Amino acid sequence: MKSCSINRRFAGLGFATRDALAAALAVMGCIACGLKNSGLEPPPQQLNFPISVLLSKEDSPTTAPRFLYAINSNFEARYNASSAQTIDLTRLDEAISACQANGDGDDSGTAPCTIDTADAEAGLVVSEVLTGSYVADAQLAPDGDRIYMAQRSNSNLAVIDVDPSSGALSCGSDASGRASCSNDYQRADLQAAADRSLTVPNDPTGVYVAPLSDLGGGAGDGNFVLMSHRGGDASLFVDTPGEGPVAPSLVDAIGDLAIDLQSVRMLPDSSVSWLPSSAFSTVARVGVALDAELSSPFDARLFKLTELRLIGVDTGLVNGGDMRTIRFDDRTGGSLAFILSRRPEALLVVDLQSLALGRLGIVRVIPVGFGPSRFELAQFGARTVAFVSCFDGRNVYVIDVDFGGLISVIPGMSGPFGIAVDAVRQRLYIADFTVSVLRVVSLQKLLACFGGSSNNCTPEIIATVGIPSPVRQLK
Amino acid sequence: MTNSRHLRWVLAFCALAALWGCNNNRTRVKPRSFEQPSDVAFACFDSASGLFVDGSQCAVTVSTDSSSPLRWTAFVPQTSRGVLATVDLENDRNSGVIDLNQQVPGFTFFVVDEIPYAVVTVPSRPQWVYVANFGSQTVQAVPTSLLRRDAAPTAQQVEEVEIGAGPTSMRATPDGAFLLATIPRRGSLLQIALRDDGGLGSTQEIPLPIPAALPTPLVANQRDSTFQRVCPENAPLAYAANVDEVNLPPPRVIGSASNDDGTAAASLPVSLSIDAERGIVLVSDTRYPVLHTLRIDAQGVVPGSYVAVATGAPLTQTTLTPLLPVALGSNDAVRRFLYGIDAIDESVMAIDASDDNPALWTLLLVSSGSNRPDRLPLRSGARVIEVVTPEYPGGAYCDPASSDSGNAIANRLRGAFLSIGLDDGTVVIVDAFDLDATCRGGAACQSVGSGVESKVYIRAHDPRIATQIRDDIGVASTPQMYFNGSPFRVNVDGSVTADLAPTLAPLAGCPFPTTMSSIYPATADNVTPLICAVADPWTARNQSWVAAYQGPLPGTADGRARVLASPVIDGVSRPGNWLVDTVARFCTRGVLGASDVPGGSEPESGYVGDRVVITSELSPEALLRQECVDLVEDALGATRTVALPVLQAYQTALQLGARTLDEPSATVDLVKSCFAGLLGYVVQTQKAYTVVGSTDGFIHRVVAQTDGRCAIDPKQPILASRFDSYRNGRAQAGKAYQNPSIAFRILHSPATDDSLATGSTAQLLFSLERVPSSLFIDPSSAQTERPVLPAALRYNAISGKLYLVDATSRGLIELELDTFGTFRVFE
Repeated sequence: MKSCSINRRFAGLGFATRDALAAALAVMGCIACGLKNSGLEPPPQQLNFPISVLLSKEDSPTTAPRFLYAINSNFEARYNASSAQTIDLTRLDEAISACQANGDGDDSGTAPCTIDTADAEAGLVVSEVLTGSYVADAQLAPDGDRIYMAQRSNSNLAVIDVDPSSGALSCGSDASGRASCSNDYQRADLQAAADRSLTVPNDPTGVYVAPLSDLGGGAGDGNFVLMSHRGGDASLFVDTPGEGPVAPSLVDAIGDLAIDLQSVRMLPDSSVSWLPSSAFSTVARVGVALDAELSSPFDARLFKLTELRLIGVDTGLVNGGDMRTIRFDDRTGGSLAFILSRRPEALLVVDLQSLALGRLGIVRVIPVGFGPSRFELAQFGARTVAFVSCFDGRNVYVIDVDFGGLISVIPGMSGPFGIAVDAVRQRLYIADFTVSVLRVVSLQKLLACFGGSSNNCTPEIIATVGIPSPVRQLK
Repeated sequence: MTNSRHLRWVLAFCALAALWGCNNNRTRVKPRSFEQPSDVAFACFDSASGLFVDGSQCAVTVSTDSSSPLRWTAFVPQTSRGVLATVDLENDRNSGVIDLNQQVPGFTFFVVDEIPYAVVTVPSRPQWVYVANFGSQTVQAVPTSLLRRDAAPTAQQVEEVEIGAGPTSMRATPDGAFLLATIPRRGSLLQIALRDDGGLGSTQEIPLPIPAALPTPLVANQRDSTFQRVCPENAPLAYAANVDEVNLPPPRVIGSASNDDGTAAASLPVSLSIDAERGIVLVSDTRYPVLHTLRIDAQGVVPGSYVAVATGAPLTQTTLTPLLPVALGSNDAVRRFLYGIDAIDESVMAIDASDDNPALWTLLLVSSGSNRPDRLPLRSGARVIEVVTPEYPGGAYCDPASSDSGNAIANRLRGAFLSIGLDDGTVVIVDAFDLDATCRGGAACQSVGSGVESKVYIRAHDPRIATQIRDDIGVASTPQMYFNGSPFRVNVDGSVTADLAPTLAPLAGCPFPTTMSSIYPATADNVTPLICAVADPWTARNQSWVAAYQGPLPGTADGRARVLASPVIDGVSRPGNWLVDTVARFCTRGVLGASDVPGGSEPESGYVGDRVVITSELSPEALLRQECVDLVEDALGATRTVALPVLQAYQTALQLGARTLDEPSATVDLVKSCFAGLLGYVVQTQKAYTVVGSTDGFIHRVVAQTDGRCAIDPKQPILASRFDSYRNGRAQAGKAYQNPSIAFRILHSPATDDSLATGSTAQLLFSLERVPSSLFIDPSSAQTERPVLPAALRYNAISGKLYLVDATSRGLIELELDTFGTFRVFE
């Protein structure tokens, strides 16, 4: 009956119009057939909108990290998956040395070496796996054997296993001839929360992982993972070794926090995590309650604490704000938190001793460049330095957090995002998201400058890892 | 409708859509001009000759006389790109920023070195502008002829001095013979001689000594009252404390005072200001609590002239007033004040710098109430400061009999004032000396009350009051007594039209009547006060107050406590049952156990101690136990509060009473058994009101002693002479209550007590209004959604205008001082 009525409705149209409609339907049908196409696989050993860079964990802080894990996002959706790669930093050292010896790059930073990740001779990429697209954040487990990723394409917590000795990545399947993550590695196990019908909230944005022992002495081996979600949720996962599901188990989720949460970080020795919002001038706070002596980690629960409001700083909006990431001062006796804000574009220094009445006790506002996105703190002798990636400014700001001032600006990037600090090699590795490369920045001159033995404090890009590839048109 | 008509309609629609798409109203994208500007300096440009001329010639410019060829020009370094922007201040906001090369898209500015932090012009050397570059560790002299397209070319070239460490701040000596720059990483001051032609000459580095010990500042015995105008003369005023009444924190350093190898860490000089009249350079140190001072003369810094001024806190910036009259109406200018930004918390201190010997400069006590006594009362952290002196010296006092006297209002600035750029993006004004004060309130305050102003408050070191005060501080609407959740008006006699509800009792006058006034009923009503509040506009705060019967203590709710028998607390085993929360800070939050309460005449005397209320629900296992269910529900199934008295409080543990308060048959052992494991809780006052201000919070004097136990801080005694020493947040029924802001007395009838004992709730709520606001300007209000972050404030004494450099993106903001509140943005 329905098709007849449609036919009757179309009967009033002329032949030409009907033909045009038929042609349009045919085209749509052809397009629909194309939907069955599995899409293009990412080319092997190529960076593709890297979002995060993680250094391997070593036994001693004075040992140079052996590997760098690059997490790609496939932001352009050009391919049917994203990827993660292990880059051998020893080989990278050799490649940079060889390049500089050949005169292809120089120390001035004006002509950095470009090292192709797909160059078999250089052999930089020692392992690679394919995983879901749109990774928003990633962190390495404290013992360095697993990468946890807030993956937006699956709206879930995804993991990749790491062999710390070889840097080999694995995540369950290599059916297509290339290591590709199976579903077990891309979706949290829901069994522990089945009686409460919990599911992972949508749109994860940030991830934080720490050993279960941080929740109490008797919590056992393994890690717990916190994720922030754009809709104003936080989720808690437990990942224990041994038998059981390969994926971390969702144990609790909590909602009704401020929306547009951007990341999550736990205040040391407190079981309280901070989640900044990019919509409001608010930092949500969520605690993890676990009676480690009496209960299993799977009984841990999240509870909401008073949110902290940013007061006394101009955000340009009445109640709005835009805070991105948080780091806590982990120096001895440290009582500061550092919050990267886009409104204003600044690093906010918060005194943790003055949080009464739900306010962030701001003690210093340090201006940074345009579009600040991520930052890392590093200790060099008595100096604590923040490296701030400024995505829109296309540079990285170097700030002495005690002195409260700008030390240097590292230019020459297209869209810097994730940062890793290799204190032993005195280098930064920066994910230059927009052109799908990594930038290797030498801090030697900066540190020599700290020691008073150099006049030039500006860190310099000494190498570009990968072939720059700007955003292309979708096909 | 035929098919062809269908088609015509479709074609007509498409044509319309196409035309729409072809319209010329494209969005105009203005290229970003400024990127992280850091400073500003001024020079006078003669457009007739194309030369920069001595700044003193720019008293009349094209803005004030269209026939004048003179134009104020500003130079603004941009740290992000390492360029120096030029702004023609006589042009309007859209054409003020000068593009040096219009053939290149966007703004082209003059390229200097990396991270230019400071820029200096010397009026007598108009052919140069000097730039201190932190990133490249250089100082450059740039010919001004290169900075305007319409400037006449000169033979001068850019000159540069390599320093070897980054300069952060730079100034010229008063005679223009030297540049002085701070070099933090070397703990030194760099002196650069300027050649006769203005180019860069020889350099000399002057190390700044490391203090052998952390010196304690000299503190003035009493509040400075050099300058004030308060009308009527008996208007309520909260004078700051005397030095023997305050408990100032010990001097502090930022970071460590020693290096990794144990040697003393160098000084960290970051900025400097210059006392041009006496020839003293003042260097702020962000590590040590000292201000370095050195004499300067025609040969530069005088060897051996170093004197350290103890400030109690490291400083990021200072600014100094000129000599000011000793009192309003006097022309005997002998007083001088220094203001500095505390590097630890961005507060601002005031120092009497009148003595020629900096070693005798004294920290001033300038605030009272809830404010720190040695800091200016500000609503946000200070980033930058600058003394402005429109029409001073040289300007005459306002004559109350003159026709101009009516123009003497708050936003006309004549005299000496401190301008402060705050974290919240605003610029506030603090009075130092106001030439118009003689006209405020009329001659000898005789006009007060008869005109638009009922009170006048102007005082040195206090934020300038922006509004003309017509009405006294009062209560918004009427106070409300919420009883069992329903609001009831508190009548002017204190009664509440609800049976059993608490009432307010009349006070026998306001405590400290020279400081507090009745806000309910209003003083004008001439009835006995029920609620008093501080009426001094600098001490009072627009805030709401809630006094909740057995209300929670802010910050004491958590979900990670455990009830333990004889736990080890701070290394000592303590008998009894305790609620232990290792991440709690009970003393910091003000918790008092019954045995922690002081006796005597202390305001807390007679208090029965706080209580802990369990907020967790019973576990599924506990729900199967009837005794646990009975603990949380009464016989009718109504929820019962599980509350235990606090006997002793420690920073992380509370000793609990043996039985619950609402059901005495329930023991603490039963609570422990029913709520095994981690439990949620909140600490509340017991049989008293928790008084919390929306700004002041819960005011108390509780501190942790060395053994971790909570007690009233002996360093904060109640002083009969000081209204702000009454730091108590618990109001007991029948007992007069006061804190540094308000005072009242709540009454309970026996029936009220009975009702409250059986679960009724009560809270008194009122809000203060008409607290005069301070004078400020909010540049971000002119264009929404763009925050402002002050990077520098610079006063052009010749043009009489103040300039704010915005570190984010708004660029340079010009503020008028004769009509403070109007401004122009150059971006």
